[in-house]
Amino acid sequence: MTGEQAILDKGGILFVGGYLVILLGLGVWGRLARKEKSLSDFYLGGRSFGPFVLFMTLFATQYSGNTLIGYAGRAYRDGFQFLAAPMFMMLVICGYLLYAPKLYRLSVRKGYITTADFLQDRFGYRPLSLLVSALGMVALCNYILTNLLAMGLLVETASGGRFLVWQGILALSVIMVLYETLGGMRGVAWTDVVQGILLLVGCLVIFALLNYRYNSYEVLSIDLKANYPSFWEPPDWEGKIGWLSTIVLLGFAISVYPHGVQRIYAARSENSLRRSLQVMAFMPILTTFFIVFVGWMGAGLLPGLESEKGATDRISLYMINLLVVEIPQFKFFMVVFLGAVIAAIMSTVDSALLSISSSLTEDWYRLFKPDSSQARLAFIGKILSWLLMGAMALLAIQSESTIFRLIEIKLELLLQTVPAIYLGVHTKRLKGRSLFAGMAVGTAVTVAFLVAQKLGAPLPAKPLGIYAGIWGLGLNLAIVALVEWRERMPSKLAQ
Amino acid sequence: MTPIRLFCIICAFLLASVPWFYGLGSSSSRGDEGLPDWALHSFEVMLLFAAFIVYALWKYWSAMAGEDENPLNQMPEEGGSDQNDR
Repeated sequence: MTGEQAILDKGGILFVGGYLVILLGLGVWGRLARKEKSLSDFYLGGRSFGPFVLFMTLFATQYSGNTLIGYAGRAYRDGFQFLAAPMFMMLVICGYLLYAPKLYRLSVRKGYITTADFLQDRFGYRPLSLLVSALGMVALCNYILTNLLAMGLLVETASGGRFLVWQGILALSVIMVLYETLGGMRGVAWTDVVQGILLLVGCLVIFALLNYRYNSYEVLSIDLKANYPSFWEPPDWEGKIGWLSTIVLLGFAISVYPHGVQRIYAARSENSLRRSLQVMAFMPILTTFFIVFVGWMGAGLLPGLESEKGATDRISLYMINLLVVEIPQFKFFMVVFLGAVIAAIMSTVDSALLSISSSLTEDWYRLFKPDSSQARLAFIGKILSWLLMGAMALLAIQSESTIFRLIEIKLELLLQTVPAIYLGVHTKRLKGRSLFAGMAVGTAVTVAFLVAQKLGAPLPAKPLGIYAGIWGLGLNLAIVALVEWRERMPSKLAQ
Repeated sequence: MTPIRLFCIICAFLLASVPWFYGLGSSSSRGDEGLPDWALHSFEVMLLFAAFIVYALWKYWSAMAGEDENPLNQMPEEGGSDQNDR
């Protein structure tokens, strides 16, 4: 939007300001609704969420700012091949179907707070639960950093430079950590309701306005075909394998996001969980597909942006701007869309922050201080939230640091925890040691590959079109099978 | 329905969503959606997949939960672990 009018004029700033005040109010309301000073109450909202709140918090959490900004840009660059995006978001729901029903029942009985709690209870092998906890935290730190940076850039762009990146990051970080430490999961989930509504409205608005103003058939089949004829060609074999690899990596890895697992624990009942997931099944169409469609329309209407650095990632903002230029009455919708992007980012960051704080408190602090009272643990969790958010905000502002680059590898790491969670739910026969060995080897191989590549080693980005994390997962499963086989051999021989 | 069978059905949907059988040069369009045939194929599989997920959540939830884990069928453990107190 460089060189163009700022989206956030006085009216826009008032709208966003009002929205932020509502978030703080919901944080205070969450605090007043607190029933006890316990980890369960603070991190899981007392396990009291009905289908509506549960659906909204799942929706707002899983669809980040990346959905509204990054996916449109990717669709602009990759064309129709990015139809993989709605599929991997649907696979996330399938992943939940495979393990959430049983995990929910176990959590009711055993009172889990984190994913590591479940694994520790199931396998009784501390290295396994700590490794899962660590991998989850690394992935969530990346999630927070990238979203904070996106948020700062968005504030600067939208305000026409009136607010700088660091100011945007700092101000919104303080607001998030405030309502989170006030209301805990209850505050986060209630703000997710507002954020989810904004997110959904933002997607529907931009999709509907584009179809209202332009003939999408003509734009896609005439303009897009003329601008990018290669989009109409089906992918070659490597592209097809890459398509499947993207669905598998993102679908399964997102399904085990630690904050997603905690929302399973937070359900009031099985019916609440089931109903919310049933509605979630349609969200990839109403959200992801609509935004991907915006990217395609952008490639048809505004071709040639790929030569300008980072421009394709702003295509959804450009499209809204285009609509406003043509029909000035749509200006308000532009502010709504911007609010939706900010809401999507904030809802992701606050949930991830809460989840890391719970892992640090429950999986690590409690390990060394097992006799701490629930009130003490909840207090420690709040302190950790402030410290974490401070560190994350600083890192995001210093986004060129090496640490930031190293932890870009997140989904590949999270994918290595999938066997332990999925298999752990459905079978007690596996040993924690074999799952740990598989996860450790899979993680080591994935990290070694990605780090070597970043250091300039002559390795393909995706060997045979498949992500490094999926190769790691294959090795992970093979090691689990091998160790299990070796452990059972003596007993079989004895028989 | 066992988890393994459900997993296999999901994998079948994933495989079907990729346009394996459309070779280079097949960029024709049969509908008025403005999408090439191979993209339309993926889009249709996506819609079917969404419908299947809703059906599967309704139909196979209990099967995925496993009756032995139903908290209603189990008495709380006496004394309980520290986790039960949370």
